[in-house]
Amino acid sequence: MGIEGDLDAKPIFVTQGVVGAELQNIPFEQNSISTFNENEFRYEIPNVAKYYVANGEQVIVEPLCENWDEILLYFYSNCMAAILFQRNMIPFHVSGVFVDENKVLLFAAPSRTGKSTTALMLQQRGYAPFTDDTAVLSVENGLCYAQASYPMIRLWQSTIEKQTILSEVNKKPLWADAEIKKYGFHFHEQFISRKVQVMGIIFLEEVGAEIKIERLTPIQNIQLLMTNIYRRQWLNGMRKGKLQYSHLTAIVKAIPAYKATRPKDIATFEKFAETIEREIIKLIQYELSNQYGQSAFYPVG
Amino acid sequence: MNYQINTDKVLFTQLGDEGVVYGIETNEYLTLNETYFKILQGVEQGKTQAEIVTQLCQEYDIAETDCQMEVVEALQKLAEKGYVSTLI
Repeated sequence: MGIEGDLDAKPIFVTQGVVGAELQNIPFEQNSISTFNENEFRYEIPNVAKYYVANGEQVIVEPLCENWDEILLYFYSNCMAAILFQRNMIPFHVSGVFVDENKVLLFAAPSRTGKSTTALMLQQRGYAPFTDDTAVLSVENGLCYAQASYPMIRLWQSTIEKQTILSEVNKKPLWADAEIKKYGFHFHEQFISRKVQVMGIIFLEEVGAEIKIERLTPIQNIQLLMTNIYRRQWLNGMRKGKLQYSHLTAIVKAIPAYKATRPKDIATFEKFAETIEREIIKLIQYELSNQYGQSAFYPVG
Repeated sequence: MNYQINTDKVLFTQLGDEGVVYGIETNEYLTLNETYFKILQGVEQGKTQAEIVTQLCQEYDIAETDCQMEVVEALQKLAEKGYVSTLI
């Protein structure tokens, strides 16, 4: 299969077979579940599957169970990340919404800090979804671009109950364990798989007693951006340190970054989204309208 | 004493008024304030220590002796990290 929306992308050959116990070349890093070097990645989830990823184009899957949903869950998350790194592409842990027909604003945050919920609240305000969890970022001619991972929004049940645009009937359990109340919602009809321009990134944080937005310096941006690389812990063992540095410095030169904070454990998401819209999105749209020579309030979605 | 950047060990980039250094062998990031960035940039441009001091004195309201001390200290710290080395 190829990467949808990018016809120049090399295909990935996925086969079912036997995964060897060792890599073909010397591993640079080993731990209980993964072994890897620059061009090979071996991953084993006990009682689920073994995976071998090589040269950014080959994946062998050896099932250890019959639950293909679970087998594919690790394939899409970990094998695809390994493929991207082997192709010198870097995925980031971000959600995002469209602020213009072809331009997006991204949100980055540690798990459970409200990346998905903030993006969802902005969707309720009319901004179409771009990605919920990850995107590959790249820079060309001084402009930053993002390519979304896959069209699924993943939400905790408590968030589903607080929103109005997704229907309970469309939710899909993400884990076999019914105790984990996190669900997926597909958005294939709105999904755009081509690269789109990134107009900014907002780092979300739960701290303090009020909602606050501040512009970050490029140094602050690079420090935060680095922590939001998807599977960052693999980069050193894959010898991608220089790649990471060149990517990060190029991205922070290309886009403005903000920190948006809101109080922890207080229901402020709607007001948070409204503040982000007023203080950041409208500014971006105003700047774009000056470029386009048309209305500041460009329709989205 | 004059220095050169150890390009096999370090990469550095200007970010706004500051800079960031990446240690290739250590995988370490070091942020540089404006002064440190200009000193390292001066080294990259092949300037002597004295020329870097002169440049900084022209740009900032600082006494030459103080500036000299700061530049020497900065270069020593960068040398300790292996990011620069003396030409001789």
